[in-house]
Amino acid sequence: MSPYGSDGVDVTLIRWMLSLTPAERLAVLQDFTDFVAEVRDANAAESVPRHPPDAG
Amino acid sequence: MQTPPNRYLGILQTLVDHRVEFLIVGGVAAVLQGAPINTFDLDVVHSTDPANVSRALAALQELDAIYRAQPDLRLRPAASHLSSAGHQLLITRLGPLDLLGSIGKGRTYPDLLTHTTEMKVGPSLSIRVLDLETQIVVKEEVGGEKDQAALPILRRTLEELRKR
Repeated sequence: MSPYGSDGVDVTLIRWMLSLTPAERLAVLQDFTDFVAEVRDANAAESVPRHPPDAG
Repeated sequence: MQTPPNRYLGILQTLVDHRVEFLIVGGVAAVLQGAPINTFDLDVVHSTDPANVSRALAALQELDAIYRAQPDLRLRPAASHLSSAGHQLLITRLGPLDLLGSIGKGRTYPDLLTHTTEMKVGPSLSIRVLDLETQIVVKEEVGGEKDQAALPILRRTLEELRKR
């Protein structure tokens, strides 16, 4: 049986998220953004500073 | 150059510490309610009441918030910006933060407050979060591509929530 509905949404992922507390869901999101940042940093030859230190 | 940090809890705690009246909307609100989506910015709708705008400015000062469109200019939001219905797209020392005076068809903090639930997001941190039903309505109102793309997941999450 496909985990995807007719709209292409993976319902198993939703059910897994719903099994977590709100704080745990936020932690999942935080882990994801941390992971993306780590991968970006590992691969970046150069990047634009998004929040540069004070010039003065 | 290292990617800057993105600490949702740190930003939220700072807003709470400064007694800013706000509610979470957008992707983080959807995640908190179980929608499996990814997002990088924290969207909040704040009260544009003058006293609240003052408190928000103090919080933004502590977060070292500047407009992220031109970070080199280090432009900081002023009271007039936060008092408006507009969107302030900021980058802080803890990550991106969007302060929204209104969402959808002019829905402001007092309009949205009755459509929120309080959620515990940290050991001693509870935050008001816009409910999924209203999130869906707002996204339908806006009708942008990004909003449309998120709708099937939000609708299916709401469906699953209602089964519980």
